[in-house]
Amino acid sequence: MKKALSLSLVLLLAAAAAFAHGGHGHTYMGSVTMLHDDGSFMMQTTGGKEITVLTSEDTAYAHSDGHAAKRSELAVGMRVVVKMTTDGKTAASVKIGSAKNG
Amino acid sequence: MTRRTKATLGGIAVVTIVIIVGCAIMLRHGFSAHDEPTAIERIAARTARHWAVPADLRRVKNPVPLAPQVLAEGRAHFADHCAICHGNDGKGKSGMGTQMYPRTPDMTLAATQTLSDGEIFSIIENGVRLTGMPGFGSGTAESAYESWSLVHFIRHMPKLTPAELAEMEKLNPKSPEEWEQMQFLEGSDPR
Repeated sequence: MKKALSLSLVLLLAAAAAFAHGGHGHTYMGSVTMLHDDGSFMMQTTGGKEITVLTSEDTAYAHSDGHAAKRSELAVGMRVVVKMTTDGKTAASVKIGSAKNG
Repeated sequence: MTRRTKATLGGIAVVTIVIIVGCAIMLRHGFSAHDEPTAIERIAARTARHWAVPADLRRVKNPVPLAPQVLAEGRAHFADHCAICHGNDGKGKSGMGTQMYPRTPDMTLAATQTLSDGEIFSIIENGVRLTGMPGFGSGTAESAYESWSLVHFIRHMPKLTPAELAEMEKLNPKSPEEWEQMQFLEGSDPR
């Protein structure tokens, strides 16, 4: 009986799943204006807004032709398309353009 | 009343209480695809998926011989039709896949790679009920060939090279916004 009760409790806890919330994974187009040592960088969007993009070890870097890139290839003035994670906190992917601004 | 009967009735009572409390919690909070599937749901879904595959198909080996051309066809087909949810690398980290319920699986892992050829074929052809996986089969020989090519490609996924991923990127369907982003990266100014 005790075993059945313990099992039921475990099942009940499993049924009461956490209620996490996500977003729509915003995308920013713009140019890199500043690089930080912690991996984050600042960019000016095509709408003229200056934003800071936080990155994580899951952030994927790629060139516009789809080939994998490295964070170290980012430079000030480069055009980038940044897709944020669904929670909007860090970049899911950073695509690096062949063109440079300025 | 025997001890066994008492234990059975006790078990039924506990399960009933669990179901009632579980339903009450769900009704209070509602249902959302943001939640992670519970262990019970995972087990039930995997079991249902297993039994959904026709028994004689479960043991079938891929009848299409593996060749570079077949693998290339499977890769191109996957990039065009499947990657939107599964991602080019099959890890399920796409915008769609990460928000589905259940999430699209990482197909490079054992949970997928240990499925038989026939099971993977059946999932592609017939889909999986109550998930985002549609049934793509049309019952034709062409459809079967495409699905068996995909089985080869899925088996190859853990060994995908950067060059293959770049090739797939070119084949992914693109929305007008994504075309604009590509052009922007290549130097065009947005409209």
